[in-house]
Amino acid sequence: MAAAALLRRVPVVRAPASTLIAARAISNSTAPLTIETSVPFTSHIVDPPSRDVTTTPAEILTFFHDMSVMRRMEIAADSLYKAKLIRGFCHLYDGQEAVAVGMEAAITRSDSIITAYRDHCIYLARGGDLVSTFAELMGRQAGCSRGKGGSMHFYKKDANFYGGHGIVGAQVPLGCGLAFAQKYRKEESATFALYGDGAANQGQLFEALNISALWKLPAILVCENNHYGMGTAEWRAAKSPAYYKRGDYVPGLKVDGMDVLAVKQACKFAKEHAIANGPIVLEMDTYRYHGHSMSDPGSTYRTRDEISGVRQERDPIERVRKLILAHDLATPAELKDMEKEIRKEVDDAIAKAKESPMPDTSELFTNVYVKGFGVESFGADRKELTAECRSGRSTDGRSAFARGLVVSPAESLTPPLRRLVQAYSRVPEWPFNRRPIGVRPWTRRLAGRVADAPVTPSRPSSVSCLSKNFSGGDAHPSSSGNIMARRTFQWPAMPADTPNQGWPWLDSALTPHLLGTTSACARASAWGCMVAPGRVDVDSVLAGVCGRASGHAGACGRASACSVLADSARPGSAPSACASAPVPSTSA
Amino acid sequence: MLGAARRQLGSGPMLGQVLRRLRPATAAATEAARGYSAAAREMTVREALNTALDEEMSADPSVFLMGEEVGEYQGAYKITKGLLDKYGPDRVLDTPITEAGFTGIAVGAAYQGLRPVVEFMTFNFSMQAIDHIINSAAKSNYMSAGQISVPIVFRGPNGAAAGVGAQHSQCYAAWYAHVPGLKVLAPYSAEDARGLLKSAIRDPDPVVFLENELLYGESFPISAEVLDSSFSLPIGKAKIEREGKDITITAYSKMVGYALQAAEILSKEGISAEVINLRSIRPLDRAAINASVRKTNRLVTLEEGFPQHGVGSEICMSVVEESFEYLDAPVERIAGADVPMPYAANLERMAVPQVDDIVRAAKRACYRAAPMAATA
Repeated sequence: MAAAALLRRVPVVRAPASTLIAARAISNSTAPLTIETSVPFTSHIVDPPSRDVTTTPAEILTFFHDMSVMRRMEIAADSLYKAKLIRGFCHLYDGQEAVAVGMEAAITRSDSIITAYRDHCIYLARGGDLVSTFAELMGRQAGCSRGKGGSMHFYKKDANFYGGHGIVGAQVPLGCGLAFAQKYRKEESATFALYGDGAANQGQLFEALNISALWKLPAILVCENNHYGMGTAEWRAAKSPAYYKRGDYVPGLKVDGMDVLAVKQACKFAKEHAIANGPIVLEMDTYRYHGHSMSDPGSTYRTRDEISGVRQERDPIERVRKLILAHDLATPAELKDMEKEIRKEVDDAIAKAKESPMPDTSELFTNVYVKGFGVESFGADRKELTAECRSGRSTDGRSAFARGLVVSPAESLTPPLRRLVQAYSRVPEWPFNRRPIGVRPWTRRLAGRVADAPVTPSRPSSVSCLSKNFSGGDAHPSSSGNIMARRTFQWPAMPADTPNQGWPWLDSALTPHLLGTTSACARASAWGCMVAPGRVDVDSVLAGVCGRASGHAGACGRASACSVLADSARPGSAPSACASAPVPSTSA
Repeated sequence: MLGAARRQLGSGPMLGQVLRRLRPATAAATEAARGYSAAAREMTVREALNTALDEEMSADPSVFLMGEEVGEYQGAYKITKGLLDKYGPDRVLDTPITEAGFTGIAVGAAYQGLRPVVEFMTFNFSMQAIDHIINSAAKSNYMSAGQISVPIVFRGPNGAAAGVGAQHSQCYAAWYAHVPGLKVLAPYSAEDARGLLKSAIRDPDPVVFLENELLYGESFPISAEVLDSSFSLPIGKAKIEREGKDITITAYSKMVGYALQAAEILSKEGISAEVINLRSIRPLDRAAINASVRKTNRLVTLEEGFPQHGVGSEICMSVVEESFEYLDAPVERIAGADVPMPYAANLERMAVPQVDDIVRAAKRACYRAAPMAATA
């Protein structure tokens, strides 16, 4: 059939290499083909699906291709680890490729997948590319988690792949939570939570299964039973190694995990079942050729004969190769060529990934929070390295406090007197910041009262944030008449197209008002002066934010919440705009 | 009564003083003592939390509640009263007693963009789920380089209640505040509870919201703006509950009430104490604390939890790092006793800070402690 027809009929989520097949002379037919699985399904309190799997030649060749890519990638990762380009943990999936590929063939990208740390191939199956895989393994910027996650923390949220988790068994309740969200939003999709035979004994798994069954969540718990939990064989770890029956009241299905068609059939069946009836357990009888991780040779707890035996008799790729040759979908030479091209593709990806640089040092402090409020994050020596969580920008080691304390009484002094006070009260750097002998307490209290001036007095006018008190009452000057000193922030100039800092309901037309009108408004939006969703109108926001300046304190509740006093003496601030703003109604 | 006084004294400055003395202690006077402006009404912390949850659930359909007894039982402490009837069993979910399981499910739902509010009956039980709070929630945004954010709130009573014994009395502020990626809030008054819970629910990061069982029934005056459904308090900002000039006392949650009482006692002895209600344990408002210490030059940190590696230790270190030369006396630390909480009432009283402990520490910091009796 024409390549164009192939492209139309194959789901667009397929890896682009399927177009490679289209260009070949090998079969790209999409005529249905029915193949029997190697063994029948064993089931627990449910009727098993049929052994006859409907597929197409094109799909089978895609299986071969995708599994070969995965196999090649894992072997390449092995070499990279031994070359010390990959550090820490590296858990390899070779031998288990059929589970990843078969599952992906049965579902769509709106279904979610979550797995543990053996996640490289699942990431690829979900649409990840080789370059980002290798870059993440080597800790480079081009990695899927920008080098900050590592082998165990691959994520692809746009493809509903939620990782990548290092704590054994934790991903199962998380997967049930993903299913919960799908049900909550009434999406007709399911979640596949993958775990191993070792994790199958975790208590939280049963807790999550209980809740999923109670609430009928579309959760599919897939036990990738490779018969060894790290170095412990399943018969030593589990009293009942029939993992598909462990659900007790939850139906289960045991599947030959080395047969990609059986996996596809089972996952299709499970998805339909889960959406209709609630959770189901799948046990994939599979095998890993490598040890648990790269630090485990994998041969101290099992014999080499066992490993080579499985490789000879049950290898998923060989099985598909035999299938292809038996049905004459391609010649051996063509398959060999395909494998050669895959090898080259993987090598190219590694070379490209090696070119990617290590993450920038500022990345140490990014993504700690989604919304950091500009609070400080510290390096090992905080006097050397401090950063602001909001921007991840590193500073020169002085805390925000030391950098920016301003006091209004000094501002109210005449300039010569103010300079005198500031000069006296400026705290110098070490070693000159030791308390001078003989300075009497009252003078230091004066210094404390008119504490550090901003270190760069030529800083553009930033508004001093006077806090009256956060409950929004009138000012309570202390008994000594001193008004509380507060920090001044230096807000960077916002370019016009700055995204509105995570306030999706703020209309972009409104944001310039908030950011540009006065710094008080900028601070209000940045500090989280909450504008309730759906209730934004420019006048009410402006009035609320700047209200205190013009005396509209408390006019709309936001004034006290953002606790900002616009510096009404500063030219360009808009108290006049606020003064003329109508008092907003606070009803919804 | 006042008329007679007025006739006798006539007008003038004396009158004002007489009237103040004659006026009975009213709610307004108590408010002034607490540092609030003229209040519209009073509200209990329980009501504050309930209304905050109600309003946030009605504003955003992706907010849902999950926890033990939050639905049909109306909440173990009646915080979630009425919410099941209002929002239905799809949004107010009673869970089995399986913290690890349901916390994991809530975090997974948050991965998908829902906004769960998970209630722990007390934070002691959060230890069963702490792996999900820290490894699954707090670290996800960082490990995924921003792909997976977790807009979840973990709330519940924290710290000691009355006579509940060792396993039900621990304060977890220091534990959770230790972890980057979490935000930890500890409200004191009804206003704090309302404002901070609303901020927490709207926040896109995981928030641990530490309430206090003994504060649930306590009433606080609140102003009209607090009642507005868009009211919220910024995370990471402390509040000066009482201004002073001689010594700073930092506290959070129930201890703020104790600190205010101690400040009253100290003011009668001529020591003017500034009480800071931390509100936010992580991020800690270091600027406010340091500014206050620079003003007063003395510090007492107050907390209910175990002293070693506690919140007070962090505050002390922050002050030493940034305002060392402003300290006139060593930083004093008042914390719970370094023992599991005993049951017997007299021992329990000794295991938790009392007002006299705070007063004594403040006096020590002011070098006004009673001198040791000299031996002859």
